[in-house]
Amino acid sequence: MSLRARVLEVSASPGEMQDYFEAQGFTDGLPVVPPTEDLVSAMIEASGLPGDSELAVVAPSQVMATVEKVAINAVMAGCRPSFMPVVVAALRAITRPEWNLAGVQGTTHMATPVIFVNGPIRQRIGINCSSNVFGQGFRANATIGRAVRLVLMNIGQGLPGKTDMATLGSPCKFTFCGGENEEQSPWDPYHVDHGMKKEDNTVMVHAAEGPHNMQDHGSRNSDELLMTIADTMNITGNNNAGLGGEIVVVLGPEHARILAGDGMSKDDVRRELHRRLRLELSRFGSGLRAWYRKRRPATDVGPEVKEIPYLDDWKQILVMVAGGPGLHSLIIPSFGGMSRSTIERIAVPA
Amino acid sequence: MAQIELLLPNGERTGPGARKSRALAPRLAGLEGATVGVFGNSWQCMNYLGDEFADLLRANYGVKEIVRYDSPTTAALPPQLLQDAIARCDAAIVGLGT
Repeated sequence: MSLRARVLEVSASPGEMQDYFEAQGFTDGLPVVPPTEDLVSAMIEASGLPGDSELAVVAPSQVMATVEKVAINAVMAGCRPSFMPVVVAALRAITRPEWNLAGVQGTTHMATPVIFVNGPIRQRIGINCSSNVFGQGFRANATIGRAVRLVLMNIGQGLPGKTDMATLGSPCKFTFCGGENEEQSPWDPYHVDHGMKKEDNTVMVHAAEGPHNMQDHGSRNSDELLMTIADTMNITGNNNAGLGGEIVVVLGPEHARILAGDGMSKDDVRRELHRRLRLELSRFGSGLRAWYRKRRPATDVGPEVKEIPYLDDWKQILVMVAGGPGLHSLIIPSFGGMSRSTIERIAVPA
Repeated sequence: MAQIELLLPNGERTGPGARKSRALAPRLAGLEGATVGVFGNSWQCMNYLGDEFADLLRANYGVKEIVRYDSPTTAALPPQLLQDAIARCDAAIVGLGT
């Protein structure tokens, strides 16, 4: 295969090689797999696309990410070639205008892509959807998210303290990827809700804050469980409170079955959470309230209004079912109303 | 120590595979008599920085006019503002992640 990327002459000593990558700013801080021509060629081939295919212009550098350049970063992240179509789809998803990659890359907020995978590709390439779905131990989850991060750094030039101005960042910026546990969900999978077929493969990508766990080992009916979930979501110190936007609710399968067991559909859950989520404006100090008034119209109300809906629309609550046994769920707040999640079909070569 | 050949992970603005990368705008020879846009993004700190930039550009670089723009918080500039800036300004300073 004829490759076009510039060739680097690097010491073959493993230690010196990693030092070189670190010094060049090519890594996320962890050691990388050396992107040799044979590994990169295999990654390109697995994409089903020519190496010089242009995938997307990546902010803030505004440089074109070709399949070959993405493949180099996927090799460095430790991806198997079979993961490459997922990385490509995730990149397409986050470069759609409504995702607002330029904002996510540059912000002082900790936003980072969380990638949810649906469809049969989960089993085929080993994406964990069950116990410890967002934890360690699974190469696909660990390296697909990492490959996207390396693309954002090396092609997009989102560089900490230079163009990526996150005040604190997040451990999720190393990788944040998992599959929906479709097999344990009482409802249709996320991508079917969005008009795809069950056998389609998709990624949904959300500009994520860190996840926050919700344990509820006591509730055995939807009314009580939704009380716990709504109360956990109702916090003031995140971007959603003042800037709106989407929140992902990841229901553990056991919690999902409690809700479905009471006859609730996924949309019923979303509507009911939206109804219960009320933002008491007195919980904001005057300074923060004034700041939000300029940025979220729903907060720009007179003193007679004591509370507003926490989110403007029930459709801003996105529900996934993931994880293994246990009575835990989690929420993933977002960058806020400046970004909308996107769903993208994974083009798997025949 | 032996050397190994590896491939550059950075995007490349020039050469094969970089056809649609957005090239940098032509550099100005100087700012004397220029019109400079200063883009805030509704963050207060960028307002202060913008004021300082405006003063310095006028005092030290002979800039003729400063045009201030304000875009929504961490979102793309509305297209009509961008077109106005392209038509009016020779150079721009853009607040990113402020």
